[in-house]
Amino acid sequence: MKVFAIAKNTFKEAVRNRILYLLLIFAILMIGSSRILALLTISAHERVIKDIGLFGINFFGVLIAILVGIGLVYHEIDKKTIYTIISKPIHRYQFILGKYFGLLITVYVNLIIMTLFFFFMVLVLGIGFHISLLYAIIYTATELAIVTALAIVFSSFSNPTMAAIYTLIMFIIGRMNEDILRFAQYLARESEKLIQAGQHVPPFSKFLQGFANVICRVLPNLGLYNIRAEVIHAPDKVMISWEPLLYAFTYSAFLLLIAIFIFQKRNFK
Amino acid sequence: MMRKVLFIILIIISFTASVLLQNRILKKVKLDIPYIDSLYLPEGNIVKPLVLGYDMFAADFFWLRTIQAFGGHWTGDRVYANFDRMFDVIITLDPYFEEAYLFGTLVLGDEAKDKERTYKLFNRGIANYLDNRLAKMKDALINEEPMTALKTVQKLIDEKYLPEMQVLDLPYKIPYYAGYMAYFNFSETESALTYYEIAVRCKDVPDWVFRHIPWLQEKMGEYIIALDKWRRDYNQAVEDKDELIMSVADEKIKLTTNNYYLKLFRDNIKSFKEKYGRFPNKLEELAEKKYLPFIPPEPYGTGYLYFPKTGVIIDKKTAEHDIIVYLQHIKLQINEYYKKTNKYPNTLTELFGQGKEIPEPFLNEWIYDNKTGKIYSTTVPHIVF
Amino acid sequence: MTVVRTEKLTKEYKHDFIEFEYGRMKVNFVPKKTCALIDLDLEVQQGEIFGLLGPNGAGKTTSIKILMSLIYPTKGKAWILDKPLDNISVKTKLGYLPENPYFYDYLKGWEFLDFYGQLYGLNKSERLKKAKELLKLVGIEYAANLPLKGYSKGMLQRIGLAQTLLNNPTVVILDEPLGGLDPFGRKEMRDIILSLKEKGVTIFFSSHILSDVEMICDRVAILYKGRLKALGKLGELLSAKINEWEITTEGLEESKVSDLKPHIKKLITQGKEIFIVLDNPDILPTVLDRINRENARLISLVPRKETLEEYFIRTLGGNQE
Repeated sequence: MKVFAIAKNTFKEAVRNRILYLLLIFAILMIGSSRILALLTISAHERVIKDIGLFGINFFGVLIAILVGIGLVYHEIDKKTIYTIISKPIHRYQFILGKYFGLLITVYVNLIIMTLFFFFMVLVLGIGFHISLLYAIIYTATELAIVTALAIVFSSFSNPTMAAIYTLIMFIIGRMNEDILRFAQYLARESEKLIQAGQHVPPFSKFLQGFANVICRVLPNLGLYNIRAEVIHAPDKVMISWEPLLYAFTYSAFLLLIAIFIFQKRNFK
Repeated sequence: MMRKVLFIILIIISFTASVLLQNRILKKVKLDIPYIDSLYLPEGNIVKPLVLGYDMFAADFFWLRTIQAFGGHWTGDRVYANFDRMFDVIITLDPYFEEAYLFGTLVLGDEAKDKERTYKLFNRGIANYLDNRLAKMKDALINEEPMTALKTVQKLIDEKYLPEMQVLDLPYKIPYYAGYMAYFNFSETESALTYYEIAVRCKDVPDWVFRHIPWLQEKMGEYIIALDKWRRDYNQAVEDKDELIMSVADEKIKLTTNNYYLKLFRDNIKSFKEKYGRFPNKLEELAEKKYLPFIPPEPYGTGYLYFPKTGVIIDKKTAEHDIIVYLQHIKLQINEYYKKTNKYPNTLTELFGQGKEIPEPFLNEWIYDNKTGKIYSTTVPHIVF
Repeated sequence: MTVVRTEKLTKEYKHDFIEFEYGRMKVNFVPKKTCALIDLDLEVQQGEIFGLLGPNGAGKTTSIKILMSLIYPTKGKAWILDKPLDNISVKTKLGYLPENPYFYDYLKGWEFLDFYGQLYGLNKSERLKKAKELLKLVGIEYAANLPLKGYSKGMLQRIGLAQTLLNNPTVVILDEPLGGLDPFGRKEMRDIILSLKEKGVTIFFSSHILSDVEMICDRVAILYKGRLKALGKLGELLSAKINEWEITTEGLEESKVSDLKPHIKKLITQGKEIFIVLDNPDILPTVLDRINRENARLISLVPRKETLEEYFIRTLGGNQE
């Protein structure tokens, strides 16, 4: 179908981006060097190798999604390759969806390469594979679906530099989501204390509390997908639950709808 | 053609000049900042959100740095400044990082003057896990001085403020290691007890921790458990070929054992005196009179020194070490006196002044020869200064 | 039937609140706007070749982009094949070639056509068949396996045209299709356009190259500064008056016509031939008579009517392309 045609084409185009190979090489190097780094520690070798592996896959996955994704839509408009596409019997939303899935496939292909290498390291170094590692990577893949959607949204209306900055900021806020919630709860407690002491709660504090509460529900919560600590300390208890997966689906859908809306309104001068 | 050759020559010249200059510059730079002392880290609570969810990786990163810095100081000055901050960061990022706690007790628990910082570290670690239902306890641990904080917490425990067993969402190892260290390194039984009371209220606490409390209350050790732990570490280190941990664990085993034995002896000698009105004539008498099943061997291999007149017992290694420190000090004073007056003092009283003499630490005597200026202690007569 | 229809089509661009002109910052408290297209009304009938002409900035490309839904009009409406512009199914019968086309340059020739074929919804065998056919039609089948990066401008133009024809369109919209082509390329393009007309395809294109327009268009619309200035058959727009006569003779000696020189616009001798241009038709009989009397041979006699350029200069007052 048409979305798939665009996706395939996007993948072909993304794969020609040199940054992709640079990042992939760095990721492989990092995972590979975990063995050497483990030598520096005392009695924590297994843990270091797993931590570096999971970190590398997640971190470079995010970098790839952002760096490759931000230019995607912008360059099409800038270079006017989009003219001959939009003039075909294809809806604008199909174009955006095609771009998204093309980018997602690119990110996932890289994810698979890094994961295979990581599992290879884990097996060869005698640590032994455990299903919890795979779960952690599945969660990372889910998180990347949201990050990719973010990159597409921002790429649909701003130039690559600003899109990168916006996406990065959203990513950071997304990771700090739980801390924002904690901050709101802390404010709530402080307000309670003031009220119990018969004092007046400053309106700014009330505003901040409300604002923080709204922010952490409205902006993406990426901390959900971080089970790396459990993988190290309690691997047998690690499992995948449906709520975070569904959340990624609905939130990505939300983001893509915004992207489609913005894209629909654009004049391609 | 000439142009090309000229161009290549220029490149070679500029490159060689740069390399040589850099070489010169590097020779002058003294790169002796290998340790983390120069690394200023913010508190764990600040670092945690900053690492954007990559907690485990960051914890490992700081952990590796700590190990390296430790190695440097272990072979050097044995001063571990800033390590408390490092540990704070590591255990905030990963509260279940077992090795970090073990290491904390090794590193921080050793020097007496780090006691404050070590306790503070563990108190913070515990406080991180308390929610607002235990606000009083959390406040005390964070805000008060560590020793006071523990007293406050003990009071709270006595007032039944803390919940019943095994409900706290706190990894038991944190208070457990704290208590362990309080007892074995600092001999502070009360603090240890408070920590263990916290430990047994943790969700994941294993059964054997419960036995520690009555043990401490009797002021007798579950010797086996403690030493077991050190032996396990030692064996693991042998397996991992970790020479560092091996030597550290080995020392710890000997030190712990020695401390324990000495305590054992002293308690039993006291009981013996109370019953028989005199000190045992020799250590073996304790075994004969069934105070001890047998006389344990001295862990350093140098043997025990027992003085029946005073009931003082010490292992030879520690005795020698301590006596040497004293003798060095005294000898220094003697030499100063000699330099000034060109002869030796008649007596030690003359040297130090009436009432200001330095007592022999094991209730024995200094033997001083005022003709040669030589001095030794009857505890270890073979060491003469 | 009317294939393309626009009604009061208007496109205005609003200036930013703060903008920079010649390095100086200006604040537009009163919203300023630029009108790229104003109240365009036109109709294109089925089967005709319709030309959209005008100087740079007249609004030709804007009109085409609106028709292709690349830009949204500020006011007015338009219909293609009697369907409004947001109807996607209409696009299956449409072919579009933008000005200075840009494509994914890493795709090979056949891959390129294959990709667009997918967007039309053609299945694999149809796509490959069409790709082969069209590459042959536009004359670049030798480059089927070459990535577009290695194509010359003329080749790009041709493969662009190929992608336009992928789905056997009934309406073809071309923006400056002849730009940048050499004379052979232009002739081929014209031939293709004419052959499409024979098959019943309606062609709507914009161009600067007036001579080509004159050669193939049935009707034209002339835009100037966003407004429609003229619309109709070329023959009706241009004056029927014969402006000049061009005579080519052989065997006539220059000296024999030297007395007529003041009335002759141009006289060029090339070897045995003399080329004469007269801008005064009254002189014609005299010249022909002279040629006869001198027993010279008349090789050609060509009347020249007003060209589009002259029309532009006449009507638009000095603003020519």
